[in-house]
Amino acid sequence: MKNKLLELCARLPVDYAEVRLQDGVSTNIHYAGRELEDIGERIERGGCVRVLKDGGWGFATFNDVDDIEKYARMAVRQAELVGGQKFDIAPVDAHQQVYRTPVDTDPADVSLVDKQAMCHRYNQSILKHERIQSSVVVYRDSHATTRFASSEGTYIEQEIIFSGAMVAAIAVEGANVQRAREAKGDLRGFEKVTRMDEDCEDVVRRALESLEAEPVEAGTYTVIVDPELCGVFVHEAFGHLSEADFLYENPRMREIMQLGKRFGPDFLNITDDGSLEGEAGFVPFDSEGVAGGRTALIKDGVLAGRLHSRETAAKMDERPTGNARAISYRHPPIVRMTNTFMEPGETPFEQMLQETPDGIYAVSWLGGQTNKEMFTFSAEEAYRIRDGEVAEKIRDVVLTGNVFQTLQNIDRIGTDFHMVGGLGGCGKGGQSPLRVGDGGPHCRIQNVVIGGR
Amino acid sequence: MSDRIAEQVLQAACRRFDAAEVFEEAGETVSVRFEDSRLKEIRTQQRRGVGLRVIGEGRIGFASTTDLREPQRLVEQAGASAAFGDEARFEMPGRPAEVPHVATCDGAMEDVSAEQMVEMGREGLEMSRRANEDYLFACHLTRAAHRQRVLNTAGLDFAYESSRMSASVEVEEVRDDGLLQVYEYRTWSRPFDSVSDLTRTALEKARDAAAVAPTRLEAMPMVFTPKALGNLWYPIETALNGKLVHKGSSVLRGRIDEQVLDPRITITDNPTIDWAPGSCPLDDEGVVARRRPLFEAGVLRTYLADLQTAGLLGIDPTGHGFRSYSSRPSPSSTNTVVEPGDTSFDEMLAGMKRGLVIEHTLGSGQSNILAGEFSVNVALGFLVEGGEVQGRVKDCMVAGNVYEILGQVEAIGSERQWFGSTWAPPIMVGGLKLAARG
Ligand SMILES: [Zn+2]
Repeated sequence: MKNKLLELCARLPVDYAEVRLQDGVSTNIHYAGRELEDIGERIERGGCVRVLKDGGWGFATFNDVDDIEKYARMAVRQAELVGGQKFDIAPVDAHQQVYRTPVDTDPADVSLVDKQAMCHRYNQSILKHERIQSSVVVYRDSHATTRFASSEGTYIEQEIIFSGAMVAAIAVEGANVQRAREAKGDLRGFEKVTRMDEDCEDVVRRALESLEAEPVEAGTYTVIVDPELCGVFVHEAFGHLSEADFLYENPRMREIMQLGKRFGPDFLNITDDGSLEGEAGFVPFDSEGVAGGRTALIKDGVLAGRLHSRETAAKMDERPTGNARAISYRHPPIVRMTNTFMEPGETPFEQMLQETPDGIYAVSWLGGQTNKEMFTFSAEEAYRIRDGEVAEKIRDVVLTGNVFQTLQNIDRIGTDFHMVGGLGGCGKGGQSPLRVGDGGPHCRIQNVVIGGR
Repeated sequence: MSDRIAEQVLQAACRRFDAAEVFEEAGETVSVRFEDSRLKEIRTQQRRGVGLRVIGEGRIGFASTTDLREPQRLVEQAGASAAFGDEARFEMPGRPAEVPHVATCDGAMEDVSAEQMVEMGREGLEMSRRANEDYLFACHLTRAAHRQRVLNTAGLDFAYESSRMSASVEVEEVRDDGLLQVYEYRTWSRPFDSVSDLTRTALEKARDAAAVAPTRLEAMPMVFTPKALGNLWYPIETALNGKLVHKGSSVLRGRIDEQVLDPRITITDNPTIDWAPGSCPLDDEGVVARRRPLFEAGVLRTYLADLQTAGLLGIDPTGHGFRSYSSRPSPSSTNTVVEPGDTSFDEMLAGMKRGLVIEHTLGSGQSNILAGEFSVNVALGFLVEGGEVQGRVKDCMVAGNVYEILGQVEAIGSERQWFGSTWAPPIMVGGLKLAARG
């Protein structure tokens, strides 16, 4: 197979060609309330060809792998049609690699019977509480072996093993519906999902507490966000602006996102790191065959770098960063984040609280949207902070604001640190969900607009 | 599509299970994408896959594959899944006495070349450039051919083909006071040869949005255009889902034949409209697809159900079981048709002393949908005074309960538009509160 793919890539009449073939199987178990909505396995086999000719890309994806030659020719014709200004993608050395995810326990070695029993146990433990109306328990794993070959002679075979689970409790009283959820998902293996009994207790407690809480009074507050919300903010509100594919053709955003420009206080550091083995966003090699790496996005408060594919790196005269990722053989690689986080700072959480006479402590992400410059996030849990202490719980907390203003308004960064993977993931350009890690410490932001429901 | 695969899978399955059903689909899509005012990409996507649903010892199992080399593995996986599956509350349908005729496939679609779609996009791009050099133009054109087949151990073996062409046009302007995005979309089963009408509409709206009209926290009448109506419809459509009705999480549970919406609102689910995007002769489980009123003069008439859901609810299957090869069937609508009223769009605007026309929104889905609540940022909305558009509103939110809003409307438009698989007029509602987004 290896030689056949390399030979095909080398033979196509183009400037650059790459092929990915993927073989995989995934497991899904999904409880919604008492009902087992889905349980089963799915097998996926397919491939794609991507070529660059005279400045135009062509891309074809297929399940009928035996017809690869036909689809390769289609990709070439499409590239010719796109055309444009001829360019070279940023150079990387040709290399040949095999990577297999090291896991504590391979989910493939656990039977469907055992996985179901585990999910059932979690679901029962949530539903046994009288005031919990419903639950969600989801388990997912996937094994995918991708063979990558390029016309430059690079050949990579990587086997990625992902597993994760999510548990959620839903408490209802009249029109007041409160949810709490906890998720674990990464490339470390199956063991972590077997240890979620406490998380089940936790989501029940949190959902019930939120039910009792009073709705927040809309206004402008000093807000301390927990590591999860910090991570989501860093990823969704800021990280997407660091993706060079969107930047390099958008002169205004390019101006806003100029390297060297101040974005926040001296102690603000934001990083994307695809080389963190085991984390949800670990990328041994991206979908262009480039090894995942560490990129400082904001260093000492100043914009320091951005995320690249080989194309955007060449066009912006920077180095590829290993961030060209495709969610599967059905899609071409686009610039994506990996593990994106705020680096820990110098203020212990306790001190941060003590220094906050009046404010809101927002915990865990429930949902939200961004519109390049504006963001809207709902917190799953929130508390008032009064006289430097966490006081009563409040609900329906929605944080909104302008990304750049909000970064400037960060005035304390915690010493703690936590990465969150989970089952969700990032969506962009019709490719969702992409496994990513988000994280950070606790941090405090001044003047956040909080809307109630 | 190879006939043998589906049959091999079914044969292997029927040796092991009481009943089995194979859903096979194959399709090819060609798409052309213009972004940031240039032709960015052309893509071909071929896909073929098989889903197997079985009933073993009364329980449902499911598995799917795109690896057609090992049918036996699929059968084993479906069996493993059936061990925990829900109790089957339905029987697989046999061959229907009559298959309704509805046009879903236009042979001319295959002749639409990537070159032609590139030309269409270029024409739109030129229009956008002429209107304003600073606009960023995006356009996504696709043409698709699709074939699907469902066969089961009750004797059903039904295949049909469908074609689809879709186009979206987006005009974006990056301004000092923020982003302006205007979006238009069309999808149909027959080819069309231009996006100039979509582009023209988008450019007109972008021009109208040049001025920003000041707003404050206030209640005012609002017109939901067919495009924005989805925000109001989505919570109701979700509540019509028989699965949620069965679970007790739908507010429409137990309300069949009750007055739910304004008596002037009649909404029908209609899969029999030739060439419409949601049309089909049979649903994906082999149930004959029929026109069905959802709300007749505001009175709730039916839920949407697939076979299993209908069994659980104790009703006849409604023909709303839809799926892809990799998923189990689940209830979903076909074409949603809202009956028109008698007020023209201009009359609506003229009748507003001070009001809002909502074009599109950002952030739907964050609120408690099952309770009928919605809360959206107005991504594009026009303030109207005395029938005149004053400009767009900025940083505004609209929130409310759809059952209250559609329980009593001010006016229903006389002209309908297709948006996706919805055919609807604009609807004007009273007294909604506009809130500043901060
Ligand atoms: Zn994202």
